[in-house]
Amino acid sequence: MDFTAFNERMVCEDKIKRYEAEGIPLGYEFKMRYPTYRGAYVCNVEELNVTVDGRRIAPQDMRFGVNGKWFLMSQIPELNTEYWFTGSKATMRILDEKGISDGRHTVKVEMKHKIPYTGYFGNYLVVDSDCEKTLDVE
Amino acid sequence: MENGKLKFGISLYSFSDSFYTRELDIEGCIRRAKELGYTGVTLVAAQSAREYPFISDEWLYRLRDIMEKYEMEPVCWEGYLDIGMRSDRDMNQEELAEYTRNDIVYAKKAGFPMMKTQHSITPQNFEAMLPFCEKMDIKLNIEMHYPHHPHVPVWLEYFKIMEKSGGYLGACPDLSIFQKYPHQLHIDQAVEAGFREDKLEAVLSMIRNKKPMEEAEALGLNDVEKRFTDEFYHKFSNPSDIKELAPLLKYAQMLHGKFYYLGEDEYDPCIPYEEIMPILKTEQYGGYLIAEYEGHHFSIRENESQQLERYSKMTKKLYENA
Repeated sequence: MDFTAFNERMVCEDKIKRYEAEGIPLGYEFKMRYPTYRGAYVCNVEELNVTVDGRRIAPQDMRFGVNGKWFLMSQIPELNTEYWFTGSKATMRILDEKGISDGRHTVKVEMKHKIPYTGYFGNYLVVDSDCEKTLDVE
Repeated sequence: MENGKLKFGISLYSFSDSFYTRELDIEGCIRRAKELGYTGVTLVAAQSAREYPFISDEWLYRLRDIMEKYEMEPVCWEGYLDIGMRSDRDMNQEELAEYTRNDIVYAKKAGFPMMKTQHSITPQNFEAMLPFCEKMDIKLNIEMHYPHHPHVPVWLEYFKIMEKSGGYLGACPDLSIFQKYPHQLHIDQAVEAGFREDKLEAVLSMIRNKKPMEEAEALGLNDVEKRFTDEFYHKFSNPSDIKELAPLLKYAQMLHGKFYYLGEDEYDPCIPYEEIMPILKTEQYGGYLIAEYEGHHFSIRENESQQLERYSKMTKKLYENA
């Protein structure tokens, strides 16, 4: 299928970073890239699911960071002026007051995204992308 | 398009994987294009311009300087019309016109003589762009890409508008409209997904022999095999007649030389270049054939430069020998 070869690059190899404030654990972060050859208006991401070590993360515990700004999952459909540039790393922040343990963790991202110029006969191509990687904690 | 000899250019889109991973930046892509023997450049703004969709003069002038440095002819600024860029509605007509005007301005500043837009511009907006194109002295073309073809009703309207535009409004036929057989990367994808070898050969044989897809029902395909069969038939079983190419050339400000994979034999079983290149020569088409490697949609294991080198050799040989 078209638009699928970059899926394996969606979760970046960068280590997981702890998200904390003055030693108080607030969660953790990993990097991800938009999985096609071009950039995307962030609102074209129609579904975004994250699973860490087999546990699906609730949307209210996810924050998406791009272009130096942070967004709730519920704000993503509004983001038609935020362009997630080709191959640029965005940050997925997971809120978890327990933080994350040392060692390796399995991170899976599933994304459903609309290709915004493909409405040749009225229907847009909507692509399902997924990527799973095992990452170390920094 | 003035008569003459075909020119061989390249879209920086061909370097999608290297650009995505930052192995090549824009200058690296242009340098590589030069090394591969191409003489002109196009780029897809939504892919290449970091500040997209609002691009600074600094970025545009730097692009112009890089093309000048490597003596690469600026052929076309390739705009996208992202009609579906919002989640609540499609782009409205005012927005569509604004994005088109912006792209024409970007093209001008970066030194391109033309801008490519997409099918969704609508006849009304396409025609309305003519005065601005004349003022800016920038040609505007619409890409005709699979699954569109010359007989889609809106294209008949577009052709009429082009004919009255003094050459400013035209088309960019993408040679995907002639694709007739699945390329190797798509076939490999099917095998990797579990398409059984005997079943796959049976389906490919059906496509080669122009059998209707319904006959595949007798093959007892599983769900994965049905999905790939549907993709193969949808994309590769309804090509435009090659006879459609010559009449299209009078509208063509450039051609997209689409390809997905070329083996060591430098032969493309997917798009019939052995038929296309003699037509371009006979018709004395004097515009650019823009190499557009698209294998990266299916695999990131291929060597882009090797593919582009094979494409250059194949098309030049077929053209010279015609």
